[in-house]
Amino acid sequence: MERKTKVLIPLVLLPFTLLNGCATHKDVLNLEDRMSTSEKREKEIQQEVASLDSLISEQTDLLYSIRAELRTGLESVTRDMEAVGEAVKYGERADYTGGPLTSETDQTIGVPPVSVPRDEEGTVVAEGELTPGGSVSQDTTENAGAGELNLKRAIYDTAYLDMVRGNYELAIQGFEQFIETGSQKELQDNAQYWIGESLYSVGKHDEAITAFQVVVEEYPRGNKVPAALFKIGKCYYELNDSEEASRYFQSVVGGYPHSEEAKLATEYLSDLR
Amino acid sequence: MLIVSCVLAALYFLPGTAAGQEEIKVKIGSSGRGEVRFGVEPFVITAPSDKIEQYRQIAYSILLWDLRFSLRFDVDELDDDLRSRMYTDPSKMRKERSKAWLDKGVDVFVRGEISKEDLEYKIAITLNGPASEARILEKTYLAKRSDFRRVIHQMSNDIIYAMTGEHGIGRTSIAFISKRTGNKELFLADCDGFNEKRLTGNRSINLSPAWSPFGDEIIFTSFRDGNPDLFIFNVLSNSTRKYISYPGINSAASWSPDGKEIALTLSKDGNPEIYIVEFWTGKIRRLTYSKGIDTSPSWSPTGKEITFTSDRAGTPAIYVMSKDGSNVRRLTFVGNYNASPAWSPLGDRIAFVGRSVDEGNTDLYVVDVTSKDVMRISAIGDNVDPCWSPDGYHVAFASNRNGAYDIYTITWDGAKLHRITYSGQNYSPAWSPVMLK
Repeated sequence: MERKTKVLIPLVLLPFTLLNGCATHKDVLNLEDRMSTSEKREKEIQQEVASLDSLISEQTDLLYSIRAELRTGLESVTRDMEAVGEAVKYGERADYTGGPLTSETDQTIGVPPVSVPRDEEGTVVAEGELTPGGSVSQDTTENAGAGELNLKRAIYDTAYLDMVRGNYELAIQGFEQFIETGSQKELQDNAQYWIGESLYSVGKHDEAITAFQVVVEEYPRGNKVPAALFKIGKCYYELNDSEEASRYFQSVVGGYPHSEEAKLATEYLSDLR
Repeated sequence: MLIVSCVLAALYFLPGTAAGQEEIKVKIGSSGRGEVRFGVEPFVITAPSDKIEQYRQIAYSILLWDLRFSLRFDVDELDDDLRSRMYTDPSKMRKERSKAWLDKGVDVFVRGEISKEDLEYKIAITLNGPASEARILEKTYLAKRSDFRRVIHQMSNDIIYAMTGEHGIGRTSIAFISKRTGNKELFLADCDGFNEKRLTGNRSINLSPAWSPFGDEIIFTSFRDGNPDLFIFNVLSNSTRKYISYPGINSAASWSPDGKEIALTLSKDGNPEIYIVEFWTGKIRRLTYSKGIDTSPSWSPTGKEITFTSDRAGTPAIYVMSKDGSNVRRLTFVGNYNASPAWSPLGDRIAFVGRSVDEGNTDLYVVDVTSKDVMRISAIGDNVDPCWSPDGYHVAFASNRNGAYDIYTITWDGAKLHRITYSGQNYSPAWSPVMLK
């Protein structure tokens, strides 16, 4: 019996196996088709995702721009209102909005008009045809007094350019010479301040302290005082004198709380604690 | 007016230079033409070979372009008739050519010979003063095809250095952003517009490239990871790494002249402000605290001051401050929009973009840092993103004057224009430093 069973079982199973084998092959073909379609679809989805990523990035970029513009616009309106208030208070023209007169330009030769390149007849010249002297220079009236003024201003400008170019020794000499002329009072404190900056730039912190102290003591109403005090603090900071550095930074914070330097000094005070 | 004077005396020698140099003064004219008359001869082919004529033409055109672009010289060529006759029997024409230069009144002329040896082109040049035929420079160059243009640019640089003591910019590059692939990617081209190649391929938005002062890396903003972060591309290894990623905006990076610090704009503390980060340590310090937007920092050539854009007074204007954030003062009052300042390497000027109230176009302006005089140097289309060449004589910028935005260069006084790109919406040029090797 057992022997018969052993023979019969495979014979019974064989047809089933054959039938199932045919069915499985067809299913395999179907499965392959489906997999191929899925792969294609997956690639398409990946491409769509990449496009969306790019679009989102562009939109983000645009949003940042719009936000910046909106902020600019809103604060422009706020400052326009403040400027009108200032103009009414001081009787000045409100052409240029807000802010303290920290520009040397405001204090000296006035704001130069924009130079649009023009020929001798006043016609606007296209690019490629510009000739030398297209810029608007500062006022050069013909009397001798103005000429001398320009010469003294030239001493200051030359010294400033020397400083910008890193020729600090020359710059210091130039500013000292300008100060000796005693002219253009509105630039005297600037010149003294730049002497301090030049000394600071070459690492002569002790001498820079002295120079900046002159700014504070001899020009107490000038616009360079907060910066000078801050720089004295920085000189002591570089000299590792924390006590003196803190004292001067504190003087900026306490004496000129609304200045740019006050906020900077606060950061340095945090460093020193 | 920008004037550069350099007197060459017998004290100056270059390797391979013959004795008996002449004294020549070189000045920059304000119209962009130098006062030294400089003659350029096509190279004589000493041994005909395949494609050597083509390479001779390339060398001639590069030399002419580089010397004119340097603004140091009034460059002249031989008359067409003489040029064509010298090709047939150059040795007989030598005296005739020298006489032609004398008649033209050139101060200096360059002549040379080109041949092919194995896989390299050999070019031997001499720099001569026609009055005495004394040689100022004598040098030989070897160039494979793949770096032929680079070698000829180096030749131009050597000539400029021999004449002026200053480094030419023929071998500099301009990085820029281009949308030609469909995304804003970072690209690079030679300063004459040749050899354009794509540096990034992240299919995102990439912005505001800036070179390291050593010419080996470019820092730029990218939305690659979803946020505007700062990345650094290494030109030598062609690799990119993320450098700074604070919440919000990380942008407008500018490397200090000594390479130790980077000024940048971050909005992590609220609105966009300017910060300085120490490059190697990552230590960061805030410089501006205004209620407005402060951005686009650009260093003075000494690295002691920074110019930037701020709308703290209501409308965007150009300001200057000490590099520690103190002593802020306003520099410009042009129209209602002044932005994107770029400090000239010569220190005396700052280029910026301005928009006048009545005209509406954006134009390039240059402000003198001492007199505060302002000069407009563009007049067609919208012109944005100024950056200076490393010699301070040219400004690269993006303009839509011919339709789409492309990169152009213009001389410091707006006199001479040159187009760098011709397709694909191109912005934000950044001029590489001079590479001395």
